[in-house]
Amino acid sequence: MTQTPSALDGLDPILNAPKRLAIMAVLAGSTSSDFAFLREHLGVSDSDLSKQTAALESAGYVTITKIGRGRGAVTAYKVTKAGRRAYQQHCATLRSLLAD
Amino acid sequence: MVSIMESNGLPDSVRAQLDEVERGELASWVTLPPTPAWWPVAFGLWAAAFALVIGLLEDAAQAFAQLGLVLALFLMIAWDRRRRGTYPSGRPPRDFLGAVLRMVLGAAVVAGAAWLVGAQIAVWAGAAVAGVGTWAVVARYEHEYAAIATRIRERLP
Repeated sequence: MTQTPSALDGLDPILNAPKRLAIMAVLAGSTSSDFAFLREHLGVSDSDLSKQTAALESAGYVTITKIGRGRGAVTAYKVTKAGRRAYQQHCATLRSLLAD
Repeated sequence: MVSIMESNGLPDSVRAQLDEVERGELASWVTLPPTPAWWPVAFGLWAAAFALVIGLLEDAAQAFAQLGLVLALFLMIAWDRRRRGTYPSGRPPRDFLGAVLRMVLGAAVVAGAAWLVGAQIAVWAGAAVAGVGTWAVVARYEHEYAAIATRIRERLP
């Protein structure tokens, strides 16, 4: 028995979590963004943001770089090529769902 | 996928996600702390220094000084990037195009005027034109940019 392809197949399970999608949207529109900026934009706690970005990093969608040391250290996030592709595909699927 | 499939109102859920996408993609363009008052002044001083280097120095000394000024510019941009916590990439939102165009045209007019004054009157006078002109162009651009960013933030879903 063959399954009919569904429009929902284009949705990326990693990006279906709204917070992860929001993080990817910010990173897609920037060269890189730091932890504090993402936390302010999403309005989430430090631990929640760390959890979401770790999931994106595990999927190969973002890279995480620590810049500096001590109290002035900054954690910067950047979208990878694979992450950008997955994000664009996910957004295209969302738009097509809305158009249907 | 679960969040969408379990939703009774699929279009509403999808629309909410696309709204979040729009907000996120514009965030680095429109979310920024106020520009410090010295920022346009620093650009003015930089432009005046550049005019002096071009007009007064020659050969290796000029090249070395230019290199220093380019490095200073990179440091200023790096500082701004760190202050903002992000830096926009890609094509700017259409709302900003007018302000960007006016800034580029303004910079070209200032460069032309500084060169003319420097060649006809004195290098110091040209440097003064470059400094004051750049300060004015950057200050106006920053003011316009902040106003547009506020408008976009208010318009976003």
